[in-house]
Amino acid sequence: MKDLSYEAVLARNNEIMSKAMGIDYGAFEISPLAFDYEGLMNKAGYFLEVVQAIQRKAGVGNTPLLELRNLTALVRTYARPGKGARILVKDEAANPSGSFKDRRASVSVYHAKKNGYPGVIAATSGNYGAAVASQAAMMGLKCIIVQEVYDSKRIGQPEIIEKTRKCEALGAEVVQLTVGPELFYLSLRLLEETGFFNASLYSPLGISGTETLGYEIATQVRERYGKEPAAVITTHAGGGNVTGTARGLLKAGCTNTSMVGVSVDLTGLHMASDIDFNRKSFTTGHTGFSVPFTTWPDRSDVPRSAARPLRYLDRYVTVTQGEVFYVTQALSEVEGMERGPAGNTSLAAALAIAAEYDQDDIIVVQETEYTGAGKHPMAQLNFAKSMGVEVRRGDPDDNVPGRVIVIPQRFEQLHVTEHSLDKLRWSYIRKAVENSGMSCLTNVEVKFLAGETRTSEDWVTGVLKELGVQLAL
Amino acid sequence: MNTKCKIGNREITMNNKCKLGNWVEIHQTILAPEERASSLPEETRSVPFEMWVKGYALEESEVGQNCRVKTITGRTVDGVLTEINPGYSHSFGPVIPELQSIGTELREELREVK
Repeated sequence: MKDLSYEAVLARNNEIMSKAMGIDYGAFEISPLAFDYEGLMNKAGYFLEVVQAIQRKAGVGNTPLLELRNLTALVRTYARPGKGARILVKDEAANPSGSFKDRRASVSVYHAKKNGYPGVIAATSGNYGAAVASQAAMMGLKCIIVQEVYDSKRIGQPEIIEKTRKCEALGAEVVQLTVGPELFYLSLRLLEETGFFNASLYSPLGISGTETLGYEIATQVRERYGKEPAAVITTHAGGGNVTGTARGLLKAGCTNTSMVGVSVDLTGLHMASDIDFNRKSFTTGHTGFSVPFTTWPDRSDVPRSAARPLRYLDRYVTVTQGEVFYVTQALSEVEGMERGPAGNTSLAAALAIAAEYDQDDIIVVQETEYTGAGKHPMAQLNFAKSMGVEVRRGDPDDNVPGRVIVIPQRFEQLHVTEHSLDKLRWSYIRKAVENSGMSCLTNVEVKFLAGETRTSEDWVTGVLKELGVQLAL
Repeated sequence: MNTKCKIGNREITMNNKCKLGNWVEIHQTILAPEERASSLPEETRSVPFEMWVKGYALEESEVGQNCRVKTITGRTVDGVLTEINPGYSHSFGPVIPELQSIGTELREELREVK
């Protein structure tokens, strides 16, 4: 009988992961700091044409791209003359399990089946669980979803309870846990016990599965409007959505499209806190994921995350919880599309950003998600009120995560808060150096870091010098 | 012994005893507070790390007693029986007044544009 203590299981992490994924991550390592990212994507992921074929068979993708005429008209009422881009939305809720996550799941589950795994496991409290469950059901594999659901009083966010229900409805076993990063420990135990495939959100499979989203956007916009989108607005959490979509846009030749990442601002709420857990009114798409994952992608459940947002982001902004609830209601009542709410994070930003662009420009909100009992502004705001969070109409700037949710009074109050990418790049470089344990860096690491941060070797060298890192160039 | 539970306006009588093959939920403590990571915030470190799973009862038991289950993927798991025929009661709740008037406001604005 194997030792199942916390320390013993974590000590077997590499061995367990290697069996549960079949990817030799070590083959792509170049030095303790650098690795061959494109090599990992090309050899361990799937090519676009193959992904398209897998997804066609699974009923995933080729979702409608819809024009939001009424919301565009509202933006133009307060934008400067000639401003107010046409806003389109990629209706990803039309995927079998109701979100773009089906794209990520389809490739992982296909790969697991092809390689003879009896089942798949994913650790997620988000839409990804339902996506894996749905694809596993379709392909005849067993499925376990590990979710962080409850605080220590066994109170759970209605949004996550709904995701438990949906996964169970799709035939998956759901392991419900209380708050804490030890979820990773339990996932390892389950992988070891079952011999199932680790359908990680962060594998090259999942990321290559998302490339079709960017590719379809580029193709649909070109076919219909004869141009490239000026900007694609993407909800940003773990980085996979940004990375996959941007790679797909680039594969379609959209080199001038601005890649904008958006998160809901939950600053001040601790992600591993038993108290803060139920004071969040969003369980994904927020800064609690996006900031740590952007500045250190390899904190994920795989040795090297294939989601590396700093390689692709042109701009990073945040919006408030109240603004997302407001636009969710607006999308429903003036566009006739009841979706979200978390998936509408990018829509909230798009309504502000559209005013910066010319009227003949096109900006694309790249996802929607299904909605229903629990996973709905009504359920989430009623829950927030029951947890003592104040909900009122007013100025979104008065929003305080975990204390006050301010629903904007007027459409024109919708706005974004800019975040410096350079600051995030600095933070990433500092962590990359610290975690590598290298005391002296060479051209190899500098070149890698320039690719990782989408900057130049000169810029990286400057940062490393300011950080006091020894260089042998 | 039976307990009564209210779901919406309906009062449901819940059986506390499970029979072989009933669909049930069990609970297990995975890590006691002293086994949790020291880096966690105090409020998380001071409570146990807990788990709930559902499956078919492999033995007769009653709520609060041990029960072995076979999950939907075929795993056998031991734990303390918490519920028989576990379901869902999440819903929408009352209308949110702060959201209720948004549609009317925006339709009004749109009428002015057109």
